[in-house]
Amino acid sequence: MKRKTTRKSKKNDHSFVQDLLLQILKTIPQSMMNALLIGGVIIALIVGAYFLLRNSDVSIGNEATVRLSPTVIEQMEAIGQWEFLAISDEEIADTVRKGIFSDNELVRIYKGTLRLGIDMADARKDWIRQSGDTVTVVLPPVKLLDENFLDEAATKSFYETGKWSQQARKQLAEQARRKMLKRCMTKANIETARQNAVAQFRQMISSMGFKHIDIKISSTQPKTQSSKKKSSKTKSKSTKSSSKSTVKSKKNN
Amino acid sequence: MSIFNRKIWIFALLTTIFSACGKGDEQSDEVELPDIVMQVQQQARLYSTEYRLHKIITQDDTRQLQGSILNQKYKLDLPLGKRSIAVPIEATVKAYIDFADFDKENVKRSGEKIEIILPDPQFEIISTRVNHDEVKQYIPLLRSNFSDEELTALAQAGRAAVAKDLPRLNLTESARQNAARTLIPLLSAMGFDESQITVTFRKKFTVSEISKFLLDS
Repeated sequence: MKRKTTRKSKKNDHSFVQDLLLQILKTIPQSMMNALLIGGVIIALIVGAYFLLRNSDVSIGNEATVRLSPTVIEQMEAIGQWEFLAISDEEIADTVRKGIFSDNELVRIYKGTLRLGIDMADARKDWIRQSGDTVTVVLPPVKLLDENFLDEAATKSFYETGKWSQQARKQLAEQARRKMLKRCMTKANIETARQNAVAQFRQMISSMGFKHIDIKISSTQPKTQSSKKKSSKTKSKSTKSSSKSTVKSKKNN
Repeated sequence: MSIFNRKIWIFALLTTIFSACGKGDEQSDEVELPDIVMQVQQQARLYSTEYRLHKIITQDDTRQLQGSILNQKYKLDLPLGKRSIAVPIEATVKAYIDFADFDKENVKRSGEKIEIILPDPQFEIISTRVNHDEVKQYIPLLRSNFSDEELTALAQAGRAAVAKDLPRLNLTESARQNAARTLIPLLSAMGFDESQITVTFRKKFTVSEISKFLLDS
């Protein structure tokens, strides 16, 4: 009997709670019910998306592909140049473009090696003579062996604001070249190269068994044949520019 | 606090804020320049051959949307996101014989005959030039120009490739022949008969190569 009474009381409790909930729900207006339903769906979507995307990431990146063409030999030329002094130099070159609101600037660091020595193409016909155990040598003048001494592909970028054209970069390279000439083509460096030229030739000729060696370095360019005129024009230009830079360095000193 | 005092406080506060902003701008404009390096070295090199080399470096650069979803990686090319550039470079390379250690050991004389023993030619990049007039680039509307840093990195990659390619170009034989062509007239002017002159080249072996020979023998 006792068991029956407890079951009955439980059933009564259930129906009471259900009735109470139904009554509460009836009191809530239909519009609020719809809002609650939509809100619940949105929360469920957000939670679902969070669990779905918590281990995922999105970013914008670049994929660069560098291709190198095969190295082509454009020209090969037999030369006879003796290098006696190498001056490796770095120069900072910069350019500024004035703007209305701000200035644009480009700064680069250039590298180059100036090589001083003698070119056998400038030597006289009888530049080396032997009589008995004596050798007399008249070396052509010491000069800058290569007018193109800038290692432009080794340039480092230092600072850049604004857009710059290839023409501006070309002018910057020329600016660096002029700075290097001014810094390196000094009277002292040319003299060091001359002394080393004499010492090295003396060492080489004495190694061949000659005891008496007389070495001189001519100070003027020899007259070249008509066929060599074109090439000598460029060479004389180079000496002109080097002498100009020497004058400049003199002024600096 | 009177109205006058309040005005003074506001003026002082504004002055401090503006002066602080000004200092910040000045600091960002300052550029610390690196030290300039100059190195002078005495040499004794005979340059026998000059080579003009040419190389083109190209780069394609695509902007992509990339990431992963449910542990699956993805990459999507963005429209109007591909830019391209071609940079031609020219390099001058010279072959040289190093005479720095030239002494009696390099000369063998027996009667009228003379033999000059020289180290093998070596190669050096004398200069490089970026051909600015022939640089071609395509930049789409939504992309920025190639920065100076990117351009110099491309040129450096080209230079490194030229240096790497030098042993493959088989330049040694021409360098040897041209060095002999410079030295033989010099020796004949010193009284030696051209038929009695021999110029021999030998490879300058490194320590690791010598030790390898010893181990093999």
